[in-house]
Amino acid sequence: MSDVPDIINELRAEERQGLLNGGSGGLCHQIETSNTVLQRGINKNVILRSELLSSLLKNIPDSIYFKDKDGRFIEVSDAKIQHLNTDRESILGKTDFDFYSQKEAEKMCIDEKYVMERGEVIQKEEKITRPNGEIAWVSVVKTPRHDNQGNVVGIIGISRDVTNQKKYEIALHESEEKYRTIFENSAIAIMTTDEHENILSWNSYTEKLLGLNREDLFMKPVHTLYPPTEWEKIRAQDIRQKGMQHHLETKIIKKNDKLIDVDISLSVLKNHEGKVIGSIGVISDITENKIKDEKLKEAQQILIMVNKALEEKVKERTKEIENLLKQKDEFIYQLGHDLKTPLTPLNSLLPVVRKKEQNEESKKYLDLAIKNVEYMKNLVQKTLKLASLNSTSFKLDLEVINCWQIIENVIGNMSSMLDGKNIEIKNLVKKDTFIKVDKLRFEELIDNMINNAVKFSYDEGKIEIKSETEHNIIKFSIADNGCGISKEESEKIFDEFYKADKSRHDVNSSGLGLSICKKIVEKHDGHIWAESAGLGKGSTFYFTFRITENEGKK
Amino acid sequence: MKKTILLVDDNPDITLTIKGLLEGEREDFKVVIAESGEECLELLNKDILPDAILLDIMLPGIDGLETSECIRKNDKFSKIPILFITARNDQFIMEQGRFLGDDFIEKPFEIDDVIIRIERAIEKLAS
Repeated sequence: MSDVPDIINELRAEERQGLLNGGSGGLCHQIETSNTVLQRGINKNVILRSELLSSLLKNIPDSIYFKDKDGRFIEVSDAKIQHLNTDRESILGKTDFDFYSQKEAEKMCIDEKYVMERGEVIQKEEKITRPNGEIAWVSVVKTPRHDNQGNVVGIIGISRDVTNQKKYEIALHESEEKYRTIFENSAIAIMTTDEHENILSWNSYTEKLLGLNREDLFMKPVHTLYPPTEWEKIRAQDIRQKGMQHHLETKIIKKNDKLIDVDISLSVLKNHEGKVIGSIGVISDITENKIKDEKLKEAQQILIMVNKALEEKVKERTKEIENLLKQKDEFIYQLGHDLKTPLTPLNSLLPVVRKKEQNEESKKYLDLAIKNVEYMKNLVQKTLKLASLNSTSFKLDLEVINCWQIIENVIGNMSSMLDGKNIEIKNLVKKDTFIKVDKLRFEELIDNMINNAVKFSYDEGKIEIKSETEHNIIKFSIADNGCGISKEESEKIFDEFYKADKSRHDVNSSGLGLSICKKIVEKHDGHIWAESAGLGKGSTFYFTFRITENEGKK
Repeated sequence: MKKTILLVDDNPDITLTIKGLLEGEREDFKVVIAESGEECLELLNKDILPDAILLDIMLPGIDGLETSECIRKNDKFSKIPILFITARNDQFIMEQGRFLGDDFIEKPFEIDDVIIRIERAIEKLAS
């Protein structure tokens, strides 16, 4: 048997010896001394080839292995030794089953049997699990080995690690797949052109958007998709110089020459040398946006019109209401005056008749009549007062007055009218308090406020009138220790015709006194309100007036 | 000597009331009635010169204010005190009334108050 590996083995042994003897020259010398001169030429050639093989096995990064018929390793390259993670001696004479998993080894065994049986070369890429558990991609070539008679005696395997290359390939494939998916599934049209501006590729949405198919698009000049004026606009952007252009609004020609509004973003495609090889366009349909814009504008227009109409209507209505209010005031005013004349004989004559009347029963009836006439007179007067305060022509007759003095006068005039109650009224306003007001209205205000306090006081009552000045506001307070008011009531008592107790048919109350007070105060730009700790705990009425620096104290 | 009061009002209920009350309360008062401004001026021109005139403002024909203007223009009776009687208390009318008349009585009135005002006006003229 003259197997090559055997020769190599022998040579290796000799080589090692030669190295020990001091240099590579030693090997040649020994061979020369042990062989005939005839053999020298042949031997020289064999040596050269052996050297080459030996160096190859040592330095090549691929795994190279020689196996006998039974799959036993006869010779391996250093790379193979490394991959099997052991030393040469431990490999020789062993099979794949000693190093790889059963499954892996069987796979290899099948391939090798095939090679040996058929005498054919196998070349394939496969994924293997190395003895150390590492998964690797390898490119394997397995060839049959023959002896001198041409019998198959084993195989030679060369396996190259292509894991990294494979990784890149996979990554590239995945990345391409990803982009292809995006490209294909985008709901926007994407189109590429070559350097001559012919359409090269596009995604399916492009066909959908344009209503065109492959025949209509492939290698067609891209400008045929645009109306000439629009194409000029695109060309004017000078994309191939600038590199890219975003959001160019233009029109594109659809199937049947229909135009649609689109937004185009264009980029130039360059090769690795920087040469322009085409361009890519991203086209989105903005027809609907445009329609929406139009509709929005339309809706806005309508809204503006509706608004205007509404404003007009509101103005109209406001005017109507103002007119109605004016009419109401005029009506009340007229009614008031019309009632005054017929009241005159009643009001004047009844007391005279009452004076002359002797019959006690008639006197009682006359008293009743007089009382009700008084009430009516009061009601008419108050109503007219309120109406005149409400009227647009009402004007304040302002003058500077001494508040303390006015309040004193009002109290003086009413002492006889305290409802027969024993009520103490204290004017605690400072004597030098001056304000600029309509004197008559102010008197009326004070009169109404005190009357109100008296009305809701118990038989033994106490009323205190005070004032305090803060900045440019003077605040008056009229406090009583009477029956008080609830919180809900305190908000209503200033309403027209509000009566604290509706069931009570109070002939002394018109229900307008506090409304008049409120009007008077408001006409002076002041505020009026009531506070009470609750029913039975008295109440305090407040009202304010604005004062200038010269007023208040003089 | 009785004092003559010329009462100008178109409402017979009012004239009856005032005449009755004034003459009833004061024996020295004599009330003469005119139902319009025109009638009032007619009486004055007939030399029936009263001591005081009670003049309603809202009158048919020429109203009270106009009537008072005519009275003031005639020297023969321009000095006679005029007391306006009215149901209206509009600011404008009140101002006009105060300006042209000597006093202003608002309906409904207390008869005592009317008497006081009449006397005051007559006294003022005499002094």
